[in-house]
Amino acid sequence: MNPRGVCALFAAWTAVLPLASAHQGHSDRAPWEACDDRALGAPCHWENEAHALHIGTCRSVADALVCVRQRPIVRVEPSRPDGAPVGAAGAPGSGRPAFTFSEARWIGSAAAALGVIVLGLVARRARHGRGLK
Amino acid sequence: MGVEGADAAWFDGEGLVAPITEEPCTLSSGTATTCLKVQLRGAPSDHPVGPFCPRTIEDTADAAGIWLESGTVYDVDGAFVVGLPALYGDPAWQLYDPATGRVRVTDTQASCSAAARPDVDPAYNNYCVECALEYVGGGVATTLMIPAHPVALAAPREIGRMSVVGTALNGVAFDPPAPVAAILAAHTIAAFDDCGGHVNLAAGYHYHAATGCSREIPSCDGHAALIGVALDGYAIHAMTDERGVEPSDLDACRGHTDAVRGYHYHVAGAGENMFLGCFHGDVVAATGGGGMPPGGGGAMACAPGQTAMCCGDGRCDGPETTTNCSADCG
Repeated sequence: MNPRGVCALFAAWTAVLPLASAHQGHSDRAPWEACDDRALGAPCHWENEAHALHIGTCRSVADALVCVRQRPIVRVEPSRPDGAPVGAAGAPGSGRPAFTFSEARWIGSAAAALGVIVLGLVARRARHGRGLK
Repeated sequence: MGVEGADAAWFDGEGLVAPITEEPCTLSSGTATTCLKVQLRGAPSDHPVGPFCPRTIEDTADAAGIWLESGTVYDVDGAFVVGLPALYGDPAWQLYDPATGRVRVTDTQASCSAAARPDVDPAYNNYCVECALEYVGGGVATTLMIPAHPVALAAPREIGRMSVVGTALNGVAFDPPAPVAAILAAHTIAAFDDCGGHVNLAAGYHYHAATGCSREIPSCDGHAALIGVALDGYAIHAMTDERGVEPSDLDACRGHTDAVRGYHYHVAGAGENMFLGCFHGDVVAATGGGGMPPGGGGAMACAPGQTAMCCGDGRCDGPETTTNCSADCG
């Protein structure tokens, strides 16, 4: 898969995740706060001051849950001063993020809606097929 | 699949109290097996210990160690100390005397003992915390029983309250991370040396990050170097391969399988204050549930002679009741 594809996949994945409270934070607690409201084994992510996005899974350490990174660090575009959403960085030299989070959410929602439609059509066709027999 | 399990020849004998032996052991699942008895000397065999805290705000990175913060490794030089209020967005950070520029450092055993704990003695608020290896007689020996033939679990085993997750090949333990909220709330930092280790009075010198200092065994195929062994017996490798690339298929424990090595771990980045996220394999029963809590930030440990920290109240020699320590008292 090319880098843009990886970014797109990541962006779509994050679109269906609630943003952790640690996402905005520059805090040593960020990996812990990323799992504050999550269950053991749940996906998690957090971003640091250097706009390095850490994506992983909540694991139990020292009576708390901490976000253990599973994937290579993703560099993301800095948030704009107006609070506009950040996006996964595009291919090197592209000068443009592959997707903003809002775009990613839109992609995720569109993909989910498309999936529902396709499943519906398949189910309808299956019912129709059985009816013809 | 490659051969899994640790080899005694991987270790630097200078870092061990005694040669590694094989002994019978029982895993937490009840499985009887054979373990490597690894007796760590508790001091690195291949690099010096420290420095940790700078002494003045003029000190450069050469005179001090590092701090691990949200995935980033910071030099704990004078500028870092001055910049702490900005770094944490809290003007109460003041680790130095503004009149003299001297950094407040726990440079005695008594001050180390009072500050290097979760409930930091209020007298040591706003200190750079360090403990000398001499306070623990040059090192705290630790015996690890590591399965010679790792046994994979159906579901990962959590690190939980285990105090060690594995060992480097130079006789120094890999400790798990721990929440540092209390430590930071007291405006203290327990600085690490450039090798990612520091000292507390209970565990002695131990690592919280892999920075490339300790013994490494290169891989012939360009794979990340072997740097240690986890408590479940699986090998621990550096984060990236010789091209600087990190695997993209790691599981929740930060491990994966390849044809040469079988299952093995890749440590997290130095700034993440973490080596692995859980155990893919079973560990020896005695090390699986009890013991001291993790020493994240170097402060969650009890002094020699104290009772191991209660699971519920976070205090050495603290009362254990069915309320705060149901696991122990129930």
